Amino acid sequence: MSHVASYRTEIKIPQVAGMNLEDNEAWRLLRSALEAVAAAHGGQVVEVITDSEGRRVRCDAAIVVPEFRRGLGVKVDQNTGQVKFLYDTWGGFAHTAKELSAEVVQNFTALAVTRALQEMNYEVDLDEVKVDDRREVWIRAEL
Amino acid sequence: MPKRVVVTVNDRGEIRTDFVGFQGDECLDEAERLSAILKNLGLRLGVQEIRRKSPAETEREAGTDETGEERGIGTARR
Repeated sequence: MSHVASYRTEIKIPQVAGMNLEDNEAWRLLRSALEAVAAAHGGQVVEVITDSEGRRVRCDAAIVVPEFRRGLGVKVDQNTGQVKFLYDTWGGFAHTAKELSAEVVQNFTALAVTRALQEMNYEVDLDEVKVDDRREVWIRAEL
Repeated sequence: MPKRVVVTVNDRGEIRTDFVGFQGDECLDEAERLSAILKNLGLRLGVQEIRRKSPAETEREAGTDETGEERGIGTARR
């Protein structure tokens, strides 16, 4: 018997309490996702975002890209591991910020699934495709 | 038949998994293993839908149809 299933996803960094984030594998994977999105948009990974009035907000990591120079920040709750995206959308940037954060989530999900399948000894291939003008990542794994 | 997993990740933070070539409840066990490893990697899954494949679907994936004929490259049909 085989099956098909669909899931919603949530990013929650495990075992963060009292730990240096850089020592956490899940955090390193999220950081890789941020780096990939920054690179795809010609931007960079930083640690500070700015609000619409120029005030700086320190984050665990952030990406700054040409179309959103204030930056999209990521903050991990040290008690729960919950991941939040921080950004100031004032001035018409709501759509851009949401698209960027969705891209980070999609990248992270693809990276995590690939890593997990490899740990299960699968050979894994990935493709990025456009379906109805929306980006999908297809992961094929074989034992 | 090789065991395969196909995962689709959409832009709304949802994934769809397709387990192919597993016997009995093996696929569910494999899905649980995957879910547990993903949790350790920071990705929690919330089930939206699980559908077991029909015997016909499973047979088609294995390369035989309901009449018992094997299909494949180079196989002659009578």
